[in-house]
Amino acid sequence: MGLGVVLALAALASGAAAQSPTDRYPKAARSYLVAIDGQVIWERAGDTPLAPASLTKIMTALVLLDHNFTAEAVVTISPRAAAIEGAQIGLRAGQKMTAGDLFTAMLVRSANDACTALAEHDGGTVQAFVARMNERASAMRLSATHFVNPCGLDAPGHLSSARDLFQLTQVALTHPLFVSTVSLERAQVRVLGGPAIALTSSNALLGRLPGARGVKTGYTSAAGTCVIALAERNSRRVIAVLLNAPDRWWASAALVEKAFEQAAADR
Amino acid sequence: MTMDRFVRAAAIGAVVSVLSVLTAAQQPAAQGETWEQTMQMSMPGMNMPARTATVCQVKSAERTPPKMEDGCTMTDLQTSASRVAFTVACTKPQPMTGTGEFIYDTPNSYSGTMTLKSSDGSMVMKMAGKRIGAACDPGALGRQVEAQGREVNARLAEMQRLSGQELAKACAEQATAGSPALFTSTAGTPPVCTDSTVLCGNFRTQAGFAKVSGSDPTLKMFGQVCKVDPMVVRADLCGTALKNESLDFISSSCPDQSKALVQRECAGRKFTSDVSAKYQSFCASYFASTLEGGGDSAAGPKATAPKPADSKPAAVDEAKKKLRGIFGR
Repeated sequence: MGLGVVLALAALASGAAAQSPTDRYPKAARSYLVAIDGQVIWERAGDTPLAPASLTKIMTALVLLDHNFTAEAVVTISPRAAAIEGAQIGLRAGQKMTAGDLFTAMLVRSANDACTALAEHDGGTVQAFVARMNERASAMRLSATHFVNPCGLDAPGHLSSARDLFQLTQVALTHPLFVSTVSLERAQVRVLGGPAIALTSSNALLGRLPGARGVKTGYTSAAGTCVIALAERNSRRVIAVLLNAPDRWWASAALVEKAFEQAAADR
Repeated sequence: MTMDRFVRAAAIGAVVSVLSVLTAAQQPAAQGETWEQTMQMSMPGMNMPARTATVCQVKSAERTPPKMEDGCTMTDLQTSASRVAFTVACTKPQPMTGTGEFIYDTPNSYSGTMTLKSSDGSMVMKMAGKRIGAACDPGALGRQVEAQGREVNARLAEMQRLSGQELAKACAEQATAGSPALFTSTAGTPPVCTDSTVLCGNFRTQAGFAKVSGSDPTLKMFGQVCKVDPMVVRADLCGTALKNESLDFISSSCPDQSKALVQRECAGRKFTSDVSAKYQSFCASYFASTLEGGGDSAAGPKATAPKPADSKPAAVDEAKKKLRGIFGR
């Protein structure tokens, strides 16, 4: 008798269960995705192709790391790299830096001059390197992703999605050098034979959000403000991807906090 | 109709009634919304007390015939903008037929009646529901109650085979875990566990209260078992938490104190500069509420988005930006 009554009470109180990720925070960003330990829990327009801005540099880093990346290799800055628009660390044509320092500048400070220099060094030309990026995206079945340049500048057809970027980030996080670099709040790089350059991470979550470990920021006029946040607490990992967020810092911090609350509640 | 059969019929009726309401929900969006549902059953010579429950229903339930319990079939479903009617026939646990009708008085309320007939007699169920507002996770409450139901069922079956000593041990474990289900009576049956001292003691601690503060059904159970008003317990614990600035507890369990702290430490502040490190997580957690569908973003912390792309910064600012490298921040 107890069985039937309990089942009746359970049935009375239950609504239709939502099994797929929900759009719990529709005001967070035009597109966002939040995952706990690789499992997506919340998302909004996760498959919509949008301008990814400098989140592109995650793929740039991955292609470099996949291709016999040698941190000690010496890279000469080309006129094209020195003249690139957007965020830079102020490199001049003819200067030399190690690939490792350029890698750090690209990810910590989102420097486009460093990014372009690395792409040219690895691919011979920017176009050849971008072709590799698209091959990698295709191999990873990132169906909403296509790159036109290695650094994330606005360009027709330069697109990705929150879900693709999430999958890309998960793969990139299997590389120890990538993991250690994106977690740096500050770094110092050096022009060979020249001065040191102090860098402060563009990622405001580092050092402020408990457990924050990265990953990348992005901004262009087409993309709006974007961020991919990674935080780890008590052996749980949360990744939040936000594209075109009205306030990426509060929003990403909020989504991370709520994700950890849910992780604790589900335990 | 015997008591046992009555209860089984009630189970069938409850499932049918809930599924009927879900069928008739008319909201287009995907999120859940909170409804308060009341059901009262009666049969000749017997009236069950009305039961009220808070449920979270998916707003986008489709108008399709609901999935019936095994042995029941719904037919002749008629729907209109303000009315749902149907007939139902069951072969298990005994042959029964019935009719149901729900009237949607307003978009936020409904009332309905179901009548079930069997060889043992007839039973009438009257139901009413009203939308009480907040957006919710459609599956959360249901999963919670279902999980509690499954847990109770499993435990009831197990307890029947346990010795007194083992039963005491099991009850002690449940008390320590903060699970009140076995300490409550169900449909007139006495509780399996009777000594609630440890259970109620834990409930009056921050850690114990925080475990259950988000579940109204569980708080009600604690209220019944411990003979306390859960809101009074909350007020006491939250008052202490505010004095000690136990931010995790305030955030999870103290809505009033949370609001006061938000106004003092979070509202109107930039993430990157104005919030004390101590309150960063707390303020971020609060900010999440402004990102939900019904949130008050005007009360949230200050946005730190860059200037719009079509604005023209002063020449000095432009030069500074080039030096600092704002693109791809």
